[in-house]
Amino acid sequence: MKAGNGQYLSTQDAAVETRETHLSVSAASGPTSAGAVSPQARKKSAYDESGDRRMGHNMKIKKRTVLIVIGIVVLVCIVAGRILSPSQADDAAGYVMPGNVTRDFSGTDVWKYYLYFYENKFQGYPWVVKISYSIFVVALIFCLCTGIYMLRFFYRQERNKSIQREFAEKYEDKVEQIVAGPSEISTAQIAEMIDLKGRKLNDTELHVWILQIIHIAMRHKGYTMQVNIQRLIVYIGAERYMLRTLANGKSGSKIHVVQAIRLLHLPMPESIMARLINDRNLALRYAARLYHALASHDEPYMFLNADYLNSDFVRWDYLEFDNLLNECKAQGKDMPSFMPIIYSVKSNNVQALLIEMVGKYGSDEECRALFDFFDSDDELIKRAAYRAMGLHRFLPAEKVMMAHFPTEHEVVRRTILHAISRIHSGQAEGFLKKVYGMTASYHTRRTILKALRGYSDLGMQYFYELQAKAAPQEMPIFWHVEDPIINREI
Amino acid sequence: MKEILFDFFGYIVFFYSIALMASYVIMMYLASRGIRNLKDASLREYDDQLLNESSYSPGVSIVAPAYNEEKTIINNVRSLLDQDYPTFEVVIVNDGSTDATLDELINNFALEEVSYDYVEKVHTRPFRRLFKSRLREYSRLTVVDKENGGTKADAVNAGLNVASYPYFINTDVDCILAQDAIRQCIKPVLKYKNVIAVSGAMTMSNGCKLKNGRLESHRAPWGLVPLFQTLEYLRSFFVGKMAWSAINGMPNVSGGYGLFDLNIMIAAGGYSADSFAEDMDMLFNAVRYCCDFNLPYRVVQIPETCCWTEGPSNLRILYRQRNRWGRGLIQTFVRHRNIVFHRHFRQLGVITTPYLFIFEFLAPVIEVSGFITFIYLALTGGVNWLGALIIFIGLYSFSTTLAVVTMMYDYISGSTFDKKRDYIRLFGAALLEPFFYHPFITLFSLIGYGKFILNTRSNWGKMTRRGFGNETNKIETNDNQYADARQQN
Repeated sequence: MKAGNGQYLSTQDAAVETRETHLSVSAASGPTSAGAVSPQARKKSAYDESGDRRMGHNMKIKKRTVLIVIGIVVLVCIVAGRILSPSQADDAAGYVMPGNVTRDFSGTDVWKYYLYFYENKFQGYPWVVKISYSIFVVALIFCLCTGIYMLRFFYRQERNKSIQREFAEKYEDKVEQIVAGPSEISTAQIAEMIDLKGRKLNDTELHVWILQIIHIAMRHKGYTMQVNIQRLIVYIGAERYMLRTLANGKSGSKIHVVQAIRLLHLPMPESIMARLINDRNLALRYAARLYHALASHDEPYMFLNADYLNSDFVRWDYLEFDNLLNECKAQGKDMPSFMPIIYSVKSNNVQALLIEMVGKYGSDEECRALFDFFDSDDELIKRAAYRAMGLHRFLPAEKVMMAHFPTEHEVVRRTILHAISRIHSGQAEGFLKKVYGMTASYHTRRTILKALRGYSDLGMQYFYELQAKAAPQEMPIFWHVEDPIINREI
Repeated sequence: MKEILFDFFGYIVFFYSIALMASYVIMMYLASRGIRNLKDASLREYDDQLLNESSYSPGVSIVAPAYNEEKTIINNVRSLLDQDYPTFEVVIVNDGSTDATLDELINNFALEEVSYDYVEKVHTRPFRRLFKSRLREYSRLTVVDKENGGTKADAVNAGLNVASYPYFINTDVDCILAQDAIRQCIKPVLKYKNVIAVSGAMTMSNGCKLKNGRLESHRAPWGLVPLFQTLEYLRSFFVGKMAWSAINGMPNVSGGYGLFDLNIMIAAGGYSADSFAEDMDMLFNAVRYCCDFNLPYRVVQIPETCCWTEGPSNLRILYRQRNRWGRGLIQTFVRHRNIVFHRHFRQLGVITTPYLFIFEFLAPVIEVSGFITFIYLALTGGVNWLGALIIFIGLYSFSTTLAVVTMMYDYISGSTFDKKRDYIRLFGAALLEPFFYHPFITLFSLIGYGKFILNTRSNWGKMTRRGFGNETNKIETNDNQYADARQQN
């Protein structure tokens, strides 16, 4: 695994770096960060009760559910009451001689008969028997319903599999040529290659086709012909299907379509997406806003504001946010300025994320403005600020971080050391050698030695000097740092 | 007086059964909601791309202890290394094997001893050496050699001391993981807040074929005993644990496969080396830690089969396993008795542990005593046979319905098995289970309780593994033995 400066790190150090990179966001969902923050120092997040938006439906018990459950309980009580109450046939006053009364036979009489049969099946038996019989009847009905549901599910699955098989046999190679072909192909040529013979694909088929096209595009990622994909999508009618779904579909289907659009880099009318940007469904809202940032050229980041960032951000959103900015950068777009938003977001986790984004994508002036966060009381913010300096390789920050080093906690110290390594000014060897004796933590010492050894020839010299003076119990640290296999130097 | 007592006992058993059935109905409902929420919330391809490309994807360490696994270790490690995830490592802990396990690893993966600064965050038996591969293709592999600690827990703790990433998967080296097992388990960590553990579903590998470290076919076992266990596992994961996960009251993340937050588990003291149910004990300790320090936490069960493990193939081995589980359950209750009914421990204290105590722990006791009472009444002419038959049919039909629902949940979650006819076999097993399997399990559990109470010495025993043998053939018997003798206090 490579560090940002292209040097290979050992798996261990890469892992440490990865872990420390993630620590700024781990507190969003992880209760503790590397054991360095005392549990008492963490307070319960204000967003803990907000529900699990990213996984789909809200898991809170809704009023409607409670009412349904109450309704079922009432129904069961009524039925149980009728079972357990004495039969009306036992009442002599209600006894009717057969043959004395006639009336027309109506449709509901069938159900009344079965209900009578059910209620009086075990008259004279204890109520435990009656309840057991009821359980048997309910279980039988439930099994039948479950069986029917499963059959329906089997049918849909088999149908999808059959469409996939047909696609694989007849169309996959041709679609692959279109998607990953070396040159543009016109719609007429696509029509000739695919040759649906005038057949219109239904929604189920289109759904399967879109997924297969996505798989093919992912397999050839970086080598796909965007124009060909778009023409193919239009030709098979998938564009209309997607627009229809975005306009009228369920929220889950809309999210899938927005994600498919992103994966295939398809253009969509702004009017359609504009409706989704402020949708009630949080996941859909986020997906639409991320798409807007990618697709829009005038004001791509207008919806990635404090309102968006103050909502229920989870770690998955960090991945999406980072991924989005990467894609925007790859498209050649200017990066947004996060500085105004940093001070207005409420969550320290999101603030830490934005600070890192400044380090990754911001300007030197913005990085300089992050120096204020070196004095933050929140360790998360502090570490994010130091990390941002390393990400940006901001040279002026080096001396400031060195000055803060002695007063910081060990975990923060290691973050500073990583940042100094990444900045690689060529003047930090003396500092690294000096601070080796300043810390009692073997983990920090190992980080210092690692930084020294990979820094320069002078750094290597200082490494050997420290090794020569080291106590016997410290030698494993030096051997660990020197090991060529751990450092992947072979 | 005798009649009053029998009637009273009868009503207790009946109400107990009704309460149990009602709880299962609630569980089925909660499980269905959980499955619906966790499945298909977003496109799998989109999620996979995001995980592959983002620098915020957390790394995962797979920790697998190995003791005398020379016959199968290479295939198993290859299977673990075959995970489809961008950032992970495999930490194999050679727990003082007396056979050629370590030699096999060294020879097959070009391992060399490296100078490693071993830091003991959790106390274990002495660490000896650490190996890494000279070859870049096996750079993810780390092998820890240590003195035998007598238990899996000690070996896993050594793995935790070496693990580099913030999350780890605890699995057995002979378990076969799905290629996307890490992906599936890491998603809840990223999409929910404060997740400290994720449990993936497990099933039996007894009917599966292995090729090049991957499962070639996923079939239900042919043997009756593993087939019953398959059904039992499905019910446990897709109904029981999914329901507990929905209310954040998970009692256990299986030691065969589970993803955990490394820092939390270390802070909670790691795995207990003297526990028969170290996985359950670990989770209780972790939840206790979070509750004591007022940390939010969540334990999630995902409706995906992530791991295949070889289950006991006959009653003798099943007896040892269930004996140990029974002892583990009672031991856990004894150790963590102050959790039960204690609000401080949130759902685990208020809902889960009381439920487990009444409907898991007491169940064998009530069942056996009810059965004995029934036999007595039958012999003394005190049974209304038609009534008894109706009651039995009611209970039997409920258990069959539960099995059908379980299979439905498994199928709609992605189907563990390749062939639909495996579900027919499972249904057959569901019909036979109350007669041929459940009584044995009840008896074995009771014996386990008895041994714990009487403080009888016990060994983990030998799990005779058939393994996968020749890759292209069906299961062949081999002599691979897993022996893990432990000392009891």
